[in-house]
Amino acid sequence: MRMQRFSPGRRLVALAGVAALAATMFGCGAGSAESDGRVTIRLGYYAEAGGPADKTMRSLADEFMKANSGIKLELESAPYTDFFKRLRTQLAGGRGPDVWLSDGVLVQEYAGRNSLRDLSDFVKTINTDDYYGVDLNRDSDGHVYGFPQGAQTPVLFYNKKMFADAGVAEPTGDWTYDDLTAAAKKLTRDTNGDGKPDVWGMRVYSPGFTESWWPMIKAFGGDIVADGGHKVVIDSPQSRAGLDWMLNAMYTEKAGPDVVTTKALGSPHTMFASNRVAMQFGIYARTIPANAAKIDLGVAPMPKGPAGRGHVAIANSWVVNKAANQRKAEAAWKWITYFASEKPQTNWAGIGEAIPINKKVAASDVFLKPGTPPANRQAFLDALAEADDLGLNPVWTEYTTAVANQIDRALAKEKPVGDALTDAQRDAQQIIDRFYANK
Amino acid sequence: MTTIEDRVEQGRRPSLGDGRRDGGERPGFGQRAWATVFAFPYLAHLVVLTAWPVLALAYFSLTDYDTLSSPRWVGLDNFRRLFGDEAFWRSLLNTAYFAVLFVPTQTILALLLAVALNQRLRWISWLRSAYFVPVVSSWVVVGYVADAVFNPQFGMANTVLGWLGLPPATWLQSPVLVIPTLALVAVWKGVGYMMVLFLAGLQNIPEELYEAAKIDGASAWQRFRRVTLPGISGTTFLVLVLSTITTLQAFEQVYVMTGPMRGQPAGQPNGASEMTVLFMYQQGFEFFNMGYASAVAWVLFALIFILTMVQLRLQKKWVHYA
Amino acid sequence: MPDTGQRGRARQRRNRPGRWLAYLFLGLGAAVMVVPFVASVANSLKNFAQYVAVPPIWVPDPPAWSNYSQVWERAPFGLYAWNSFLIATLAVVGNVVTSAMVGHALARMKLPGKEVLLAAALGTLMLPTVVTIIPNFILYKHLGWLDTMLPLVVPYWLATPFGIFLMRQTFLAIPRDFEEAAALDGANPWQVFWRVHMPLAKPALATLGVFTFMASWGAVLEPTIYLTSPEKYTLPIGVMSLQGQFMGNDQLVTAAALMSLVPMLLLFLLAQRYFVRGAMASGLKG
Repeated sequence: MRMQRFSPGRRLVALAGVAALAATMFGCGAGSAESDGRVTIRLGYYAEAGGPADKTMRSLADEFMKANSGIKLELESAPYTDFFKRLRTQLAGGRGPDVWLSDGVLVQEYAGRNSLRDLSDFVKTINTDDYYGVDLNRDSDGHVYGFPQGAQTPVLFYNKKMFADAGVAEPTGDWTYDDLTAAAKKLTRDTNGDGKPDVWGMRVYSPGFTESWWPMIKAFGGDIVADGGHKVVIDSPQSRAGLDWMLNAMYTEKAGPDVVTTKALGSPHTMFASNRVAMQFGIYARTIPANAAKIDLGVAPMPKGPAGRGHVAIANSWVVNKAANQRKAEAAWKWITYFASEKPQTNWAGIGEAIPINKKVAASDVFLKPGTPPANRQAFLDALAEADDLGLNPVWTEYTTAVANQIDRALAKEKPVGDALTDAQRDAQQIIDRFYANK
Repeated sequence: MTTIEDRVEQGRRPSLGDGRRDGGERPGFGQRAWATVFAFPYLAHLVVLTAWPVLALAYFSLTDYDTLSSPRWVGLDNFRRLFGDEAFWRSLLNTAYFAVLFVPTQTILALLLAVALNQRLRWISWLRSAYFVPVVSSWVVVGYVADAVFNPQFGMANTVLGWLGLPPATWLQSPVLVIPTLALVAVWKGVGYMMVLFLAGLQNIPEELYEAAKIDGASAWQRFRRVTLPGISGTTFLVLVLSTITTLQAFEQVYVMTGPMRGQPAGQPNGASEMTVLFMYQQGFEFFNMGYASAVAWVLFALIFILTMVQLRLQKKWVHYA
Repeated sequence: MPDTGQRGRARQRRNRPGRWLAYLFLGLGAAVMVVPFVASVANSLKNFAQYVAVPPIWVPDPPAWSNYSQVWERAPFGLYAWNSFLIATLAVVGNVVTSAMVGHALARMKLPGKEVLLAAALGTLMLPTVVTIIPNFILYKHLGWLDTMLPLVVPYWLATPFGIFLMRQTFLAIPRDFEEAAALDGANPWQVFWRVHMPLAKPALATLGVFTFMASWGAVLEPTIYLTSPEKYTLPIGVMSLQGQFMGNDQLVTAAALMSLVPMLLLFLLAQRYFVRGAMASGLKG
């Protein structure tokens, strides 16, 4: 028998060790007291750890606390998808942050479910004309539940070197969708001689519809929802014309990779950055991978369709937890206005992820001439000034997933466009109706 | 639960389990009480980590619950909606399809590997280790490693297809290939472990049985059919159970390999890889329909319950005890 | 090899041509297992332009070794590794002890409702974590355990179904003679369990230990949900936290993911002898 191996003495030492470990681990548990009279607010944001956005946010938080000695910020960050995964669980358990950075498209999802504080009264105290994007957050009743932190809007990205090599004139603000097709066709090439193109003029389709079918449908006069997000209107001849333009560009003119090829070419970050397409619709953040891959990048206004340029924009915004008390909410608002002021916006513009929402900063050289491509950054500001929201409502994720499902099928030629639009309208309307019926 | 009366009674009477004398009997603290102490961690587990969530979800499933405001009673609405929801049925079909591809492939491959390894070979422990590298890797790691293989643009799989003169495939981006690709990666990750289980089973078969079969003139195949297979039926059962579990829990894998990591919503392309657990996750966590998601969870519980019963039955019928 | 292939059958088959077939089959399979890792090591040494290059670059020249140092600069990976190690160690200790206890009760003791418990264990074994995450979050909130390591450790101290199965099988296979001898010496059931059965079950305990360590070390969902303070993060959250919203950052994340695999691989290689034997013990007769 081998009992001796587990002698009581050793066992005790081991147990004591475990207990000591446990004590050190769990001793530093939850909850910080507000004993020093400071108000502590928990602030959540999404950023890659140790990346420029994360570092900038932390240094801004430090500066803010120095200037406002009565407020202590506790930062909670995570990368984008993990951040929202955790946020939802936290809110379900009644332990959400007091103020957090929300993807612009999600503000109404939380507001519509009574999780956000109505910031309308706070917003009245400032001049909203000084900032971009405030109205993108206004819901159908005129309430404002979020205040912009940074803005995104798509414009036409193009690879100057590929244009020069092909001898094609660079895009201008006068381009129509027909010009886009014609130029894209000239830029499409078969480089390895297998009889099939492997470099294309334009990335027409993207699973990220902000840079694909959404602005295209709008440019052709269609729309996705109307009536403050209550009514789905996508099933129209105009929407059809927009999708037909895409199908024509991909399958008839072969000026862009088809849906399957596009997906195979990788994520939206990599396609333009790997010189596989000469043009794409890209939001401002796409300048980062393009510059990282040293693409000779130019941007131009969105092409003109029969009904305009179809501008859309997203204002990523600060939101305040409805559960936060007045004192915390005021402290949160102080942080929000601080972030919107010139110096923080200048710092934020420096990392090149978002268009500054402070118009003064956006009009300054910090944004317009930072020394990296693209040169014509004014195109982003012009687009932003005219942009609509992305059909926001409290069930945005669910209804746009349903619509995208149908449209992706139509664009992959798995389903006739007309049927897809009819089904998209039916599915999405059902989702929206179910939500409002339960309210 | 042991009452005082029980203890008193047990203390008085020596219990005669299995016709043997039980160890450590002491007056006032009988075998049952000891057994309860030993089983206590799991009893607590069942109450706290099984009964509580299952009952909470039962309540949620009868409500309209967005996780942000309090639940509102809706009776059986969620279940009614669920049975008419095409996407839900598709997710069940996808799960079944994954299982049909994954479970037999992994089991057969693991058995073949075990048979090959069940002989004295040089480098055997290195070879065996190689099969364990994916087993000890987490899904996050596997997600990135699989991308090095199946990325349609710069993955190895298409390069290999090119050598064979075949056209490139789009793997995880193809509605046709996505589930087979997921199943393939799941086999790749899991086969090493199942292989060792089979190896153990094989080594437990007495050599005399093979000798006897040989004397009877049985061919190699007949020996495999009549001696090996019955001899490892217990292991086979275990492997099948574990593989079924992997199938039902194929959430992390699908999430990591088809989802946001690839810059798109999980379950791509267009829900072609959406399995039931993922469907539930999306409804509950991405669409705020926790009540509806809880109904899905309950259907899953029912399925798990049926599967458990079937497996216990099968075990009784099937497994030959050596 | 000390742990396999010692049976007479194996010796007999030594010189058959089947051996070469076996080598071929096993060698090919081993290559399939390992080559993808080599490819992702190459990926982890690319810069962004090399990562997305078409046609693909297999061997980056020059290799971007800086990816690995960058990972360490981006986030305190040493701290994350330490956190993961603490949590995994506590989980291992808890799971090994409690699962063995329960397995012992199911295999060797008179317990009313044994069959039901066993069926329940099989059922809960199949319960996906993600299904129960919201009720559990609510529970842990009421216990005041959020943003502590408790939700990641305590469940392991309540025995896991897999552990119970494994240990039950193991204890079933141990002959009764030992405990009878001990009982005659006046040992109580705990002493029989701790001094007689546990030492005999070491390989299975090692297996359970490695598997628990593995599960805890690789867990993503629960730490993401429960831990909010960066100084408490575990390694997989650290790896995921490098993902950029606007840039794949795949090369960096791959580097971090591979680094997070190293301790696990070392543990596996060290424990392999025990571990494989334990897995075999669980290979089980029923």
